[in-house]
Amino acid sequence: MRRSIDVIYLGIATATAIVIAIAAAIVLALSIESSGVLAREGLGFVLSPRWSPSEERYGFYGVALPLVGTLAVGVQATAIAVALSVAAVVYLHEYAPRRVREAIGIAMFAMAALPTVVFGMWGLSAVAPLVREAGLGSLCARGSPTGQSVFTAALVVGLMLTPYASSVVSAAYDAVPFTYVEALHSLGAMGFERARVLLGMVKRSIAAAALLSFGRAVGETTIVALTIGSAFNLPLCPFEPAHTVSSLIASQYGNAFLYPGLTSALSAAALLLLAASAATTALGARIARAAVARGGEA
Amino acid sequence: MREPAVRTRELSVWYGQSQALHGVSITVPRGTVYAVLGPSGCGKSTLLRAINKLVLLREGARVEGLVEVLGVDVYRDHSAEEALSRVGMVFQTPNPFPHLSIYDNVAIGPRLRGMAKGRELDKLVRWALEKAALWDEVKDRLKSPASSLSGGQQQRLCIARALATMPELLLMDEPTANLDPVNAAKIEELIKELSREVTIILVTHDAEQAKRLASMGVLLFMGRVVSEGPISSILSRSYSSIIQSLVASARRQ
Amino acid sequence: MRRRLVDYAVHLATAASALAILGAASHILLSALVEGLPVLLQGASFLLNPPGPPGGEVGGVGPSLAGTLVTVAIATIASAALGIPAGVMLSEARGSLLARVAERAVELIAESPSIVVGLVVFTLLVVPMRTPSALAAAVSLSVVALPYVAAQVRESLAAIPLVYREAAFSLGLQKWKTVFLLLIPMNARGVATAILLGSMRALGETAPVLFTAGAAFQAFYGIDKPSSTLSLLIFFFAGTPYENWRRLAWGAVLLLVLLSMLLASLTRRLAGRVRM
Repeated sequence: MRRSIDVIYLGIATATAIVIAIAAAIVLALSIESSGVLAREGLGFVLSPRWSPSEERYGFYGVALPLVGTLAVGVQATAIAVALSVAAVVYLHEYAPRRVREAIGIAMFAMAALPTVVFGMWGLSAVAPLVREAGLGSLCARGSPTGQSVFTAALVVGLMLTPYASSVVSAAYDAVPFTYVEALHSLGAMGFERARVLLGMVKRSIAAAALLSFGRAVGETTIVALTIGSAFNLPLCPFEPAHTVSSLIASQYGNAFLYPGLTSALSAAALLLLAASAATTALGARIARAAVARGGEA
Repeated sequence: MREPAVRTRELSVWYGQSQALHGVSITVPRGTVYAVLGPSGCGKSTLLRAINKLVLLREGARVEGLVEVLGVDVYRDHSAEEALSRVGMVFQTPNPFPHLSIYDNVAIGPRLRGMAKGRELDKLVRWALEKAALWDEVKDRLKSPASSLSGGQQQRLCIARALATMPELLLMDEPTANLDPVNAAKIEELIKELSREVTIILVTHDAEQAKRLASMGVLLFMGRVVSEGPISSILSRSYSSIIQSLVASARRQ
Repeated sequence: MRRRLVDYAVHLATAASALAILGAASHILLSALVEGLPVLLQGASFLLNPPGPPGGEVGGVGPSLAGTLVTVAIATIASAALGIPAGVMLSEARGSLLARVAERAVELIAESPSIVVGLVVFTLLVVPMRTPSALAAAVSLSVVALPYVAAQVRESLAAIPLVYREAAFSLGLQKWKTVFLLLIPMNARGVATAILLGSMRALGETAPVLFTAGAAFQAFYGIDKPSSTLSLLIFFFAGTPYENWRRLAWGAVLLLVLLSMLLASLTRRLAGRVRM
């Protein structure tokens, strides 16, 4: 009897231990690999805009420009996703007829199931030309000639994030006890007035959705690599091309064997990405949990 | 003599396939406290919500018949919205908006209607809280969240919130059902005071409460009117014996 | 009334947003259909042949499709083999030290950007092997899919109503036997959903295979040799100046969309709701 329990438990525990080991391996491998470049450059890695790989010497790797790009795309994409989600949720709950609600539901479901590379392809072939033809690049000093820019990337990433953000906000909105909805109706509040009060009740969930979206935007690679224009540029203006840390890493895939210091630099960049993504996602998840625990919000 | 506060003729309400009210006809005179009595599930809450059209929020709700509120056919007339803006409601479980302050809870009705601003609004809020016998307890913490109040205080806050819009008709859905006896008594005092200026329709399952507060009323059973009129006459027998005979006759059918 | 005007304006603005979302989704799906269908309709040659030469005929996605099928299959099995037991541990041994550490570990892997996972597998597997390979790609995908499988198993076990749990445990069997012989079968749907979710994840990811699979689009050379996947083909051929390759990419897009939608509908039917 005892032996068979132990076998089952041993199996589960082993699998669990392997999972823990995988997580540890990720952190350890990145840390060890990046120690090379970080030891040589220290804070310069984060602050310097110079990215010059070299075959003989170690080269100099600075990710300041892609860091700005990551921030720019992250903030803009999150803003787009949250704005669209909140607006969609208000429309679906306060104004939309049943059929429209179902149609949007299906559209969101389909969008959530699409691989990011499909979004990227669409961004490259449909959105970038639009940006180019609208002449938006001319609004900026170093505007993009191809239509690939921070804005293009942020727009497509924002769209990609919208289904998930909407589901978080919608679930919270739905979870507000019906008695408050009745109270608002009994006071004569109209659609947008009800929405204002109800959104106020779920503001923690909106914050959580924003943080979770930002975390995912920071880590997004495929869409960004195809739509951002891959340029070492300081994108003070959104219609300029740039790099994000993730698109930078992606663009170097072929060179890893050629330049000696490159793998170390890429690992350090990856470590930064991991830290940023993990921090914002963890914070977002904690806020979401706290919202549920306090009751009256989901 | 003005038209009655509420008049219904052959009011029927369905939720999907099941019928909650069958041809209910009542008349609520102005200036009274009018009780709606009956055992649970008899349609009291539905009747109340049919009056201010809140019933339409429920899934699959359908309404037939006439409902006149303050002289206006609220299901057919364009000025229904205007008439209903003079109707307030208090719910069984106190539901002040938890994330708003005490002040903002009372002020929300007047703000939406643009009734007052700034100093005028402060005065209106104070008036409503005084009328709801809550002012003294909260005057120093108007900015605190409504959720910091006790159950009884929250219900009085809800009454203040409804009063702030200066309604002519107040719908109260079992307002003391979830309160302890002390707070319930305070609210009953309040209802007696308010009835001098506002018509009140009071849903209650408590026959003694109806006798204490109301002058007229209707007894409902399984969505139908059993009797309507002065309280003393509809409750001439003891309430429980009425209910018993109704249940017995329902079983026989 | 001014209020009514504002309400109307808000109505229009929010409807426009909803319409924008609907429009974008439709445009993506329609583009895939319009651009990809002619390529897909070539039939067997699309599914079996390699891509044509640059500027030449369109060809097919054969080797990349093989790569996708192989890597997704391995990733599904591996992520299920690790994720299901881990999910069970997370649900049934919740307070224990092992479970608590594992909870953090699963979160970490879930929060890791998939390119980061790819890079780690690159340093740990590709560099020592001196070559990218389908195997490395499969390992990457397994890691990415793992947290979703574990989380789904944990959720569905946690959702078993207390009455059934009590009934199962009241039979007096030892704890883990009860879990595996009774609770898991009770929860077959949840486990199947978890496995499907793992598949979906593996199918749709590009970044993890970027550093690990290689870029061998012309043939499938074997599991320990450079390879490619459908998503990689799309990624590389999307920006190419050669029109036949771009059309091939769209064909691959449509194929990938169809496969994803298939898995998604299956998952939804099983679970009632897709965990995103």
